[in-house]
Amino acid sequence: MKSFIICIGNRLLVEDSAALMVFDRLQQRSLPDNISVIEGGLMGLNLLPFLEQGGRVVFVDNVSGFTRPGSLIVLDQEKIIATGTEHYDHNSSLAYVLSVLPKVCEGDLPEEIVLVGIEGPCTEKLVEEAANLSVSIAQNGQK
Amino acid sequence: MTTEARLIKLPLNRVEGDLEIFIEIVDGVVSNAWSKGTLFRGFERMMEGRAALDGLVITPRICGICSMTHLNAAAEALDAITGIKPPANAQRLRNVAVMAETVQSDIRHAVLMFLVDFAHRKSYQNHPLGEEAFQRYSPLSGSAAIETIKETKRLLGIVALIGGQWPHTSFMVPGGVTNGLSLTDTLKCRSILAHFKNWYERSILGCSSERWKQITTLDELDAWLDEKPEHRNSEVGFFIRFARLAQLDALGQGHNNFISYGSYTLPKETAVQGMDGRLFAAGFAKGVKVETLDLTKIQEDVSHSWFQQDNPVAHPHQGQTNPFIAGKNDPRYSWIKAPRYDGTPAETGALAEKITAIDPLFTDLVAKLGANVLVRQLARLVRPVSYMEAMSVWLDELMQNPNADFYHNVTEIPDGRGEGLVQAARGALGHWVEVENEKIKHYQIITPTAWNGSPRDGAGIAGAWEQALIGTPVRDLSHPIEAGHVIRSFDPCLVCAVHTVHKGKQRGQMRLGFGR
Repeated sequence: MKSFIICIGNRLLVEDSAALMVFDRLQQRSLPDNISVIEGGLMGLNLLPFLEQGGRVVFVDNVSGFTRPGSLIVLDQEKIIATGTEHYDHNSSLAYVLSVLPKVCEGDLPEEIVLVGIEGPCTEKLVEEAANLSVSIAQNGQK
Repeated sequence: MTTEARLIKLPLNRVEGDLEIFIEIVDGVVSNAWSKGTLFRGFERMMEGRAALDGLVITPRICGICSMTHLNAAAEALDAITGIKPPANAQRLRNVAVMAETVQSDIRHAVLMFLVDFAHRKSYQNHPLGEEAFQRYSPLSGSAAIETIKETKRLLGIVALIGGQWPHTSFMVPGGVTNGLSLTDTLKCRSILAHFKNWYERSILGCSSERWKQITTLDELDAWLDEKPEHRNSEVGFFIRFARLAQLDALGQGHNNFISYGSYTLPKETAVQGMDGRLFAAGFAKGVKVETLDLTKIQEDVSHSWFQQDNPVAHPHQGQTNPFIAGKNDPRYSWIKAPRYDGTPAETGALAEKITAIDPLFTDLVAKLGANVLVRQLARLVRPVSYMEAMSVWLDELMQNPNADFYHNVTEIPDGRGEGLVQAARGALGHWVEVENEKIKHYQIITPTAWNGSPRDGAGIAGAWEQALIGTPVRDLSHPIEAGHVIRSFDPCLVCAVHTVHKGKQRGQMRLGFGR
């Protein structure tokens, strides 16, 4: 199955940059051909084209208040949306993008969408664990 | 008399925001306003001492929405220093890419960020069109909101085909662009544009672009509205009807001064008509009286901004970006400098672009009603008409000459000063650059939101939207939606306006304003 690992965040903000450290780490690995790693940055609605190609989508992002600091959590699509926003602004949130996705999708909806959440503060070890977990879910789905 | 000072916070998220507006309300009317940029960025300082071409890579990162216009300004500043004009095809490719980004921004802003406020139930429960507005613009389900997301997402394909990626491409370089566009890719661009234009005319305008261009006065606009149900029920038609009933044509007057750097340098030979080598003329206007823009009259004043420089007022070629933390009793209150033209504040954006280019309809509207929320937002909604017309011609011309030059060889950047002055989606954007020994000696940027969100200057004169807020009636102090309309009519983008990044409060989470 085709899979995307989409790392989102902002390199300029320490507390929002963990997923991009995961991106950098994944760039150095040789991954199976069916996995594409995307630097999603702050593209908001402009991530939609990656969400219209079926397959599996694994987002990686910082989260706050979900689990104990220094650990990872996996959220499914429903839980991401429940973190919620009802409003668009420049570079809208992941919850907003996923909420509108079924209404605006013109290709194939992903079969599975999950978020690997990194609860800060972020360490090298946590980045490594997040990278491993993302690849594992991209390959095998959420267990 | 009751006086209440309130702090309005616009909806923020992690990419932008950092705008705080304080308004003082006396007897239900805004009596004073202060616009405060709360973030120091300092891109200008990052540029100093770097290689001459580094602005092409770094400055597009100033903004995640209009990165192309920063690239365009950076490239035009270097073009000015080298004195080498890019070949016609390069100019066409630059223009088409920037325009695609701007058209997307205009429509997303209009529907998803401005009109969404019309769907606020509590504020507009008694508005005759309130229920219909909710059906159209409700954020996650409104018919126009969903259509806008669907139809605008493909537009950036044009940028990706021309520039290789979006955002933050660096395909514009002194001497032209880094690659030509194959016939196949030109055809793809045309197809994306044609598809979008078809939707835009059907849903946003409710008529053909040709019919819209026939409207040159307020009376003709009213006649157009009455002409057909398609006109009245299009987003433009509905917007005008709703806004008039909500009296948005009396809100947000401001200084009534406008500045535009003109936009889109014309290729040497093209069927697109313009003025002074640009598609839209540059200018400064008091009301509708337009003057030729004299670039020496542009200055930045730091009297009320947290910066320190030798002279509090300086032309951008002399301006400095030295952050200065002042004490509590200091008059400074913003990380945005105060740009002034001949000592005067001015607003910029789609409306200013129309006024300085002497567009007949908008000249008539401003002559009769002055600048206001309705006319400012209308200008943004219909700006794609003229943009898409030019884009279409340039894509055709690219098809006719696919193998023409796209680059003149530039082997070095000589010592010198240059300006890259362009129109971004939000208005006048300038990069002032000085190069010495192939390195950047000096770099100053004035963004559109610096013009619009400017703080007071040394004479105590308010910035554009500070002034526009004064006189705004606020019905519900807990939800000052009218003040929100005024600010949003300027399409604020604070991430551009404030000059590294400060580790902030609750970044990564959207804070909702107005109790939304």
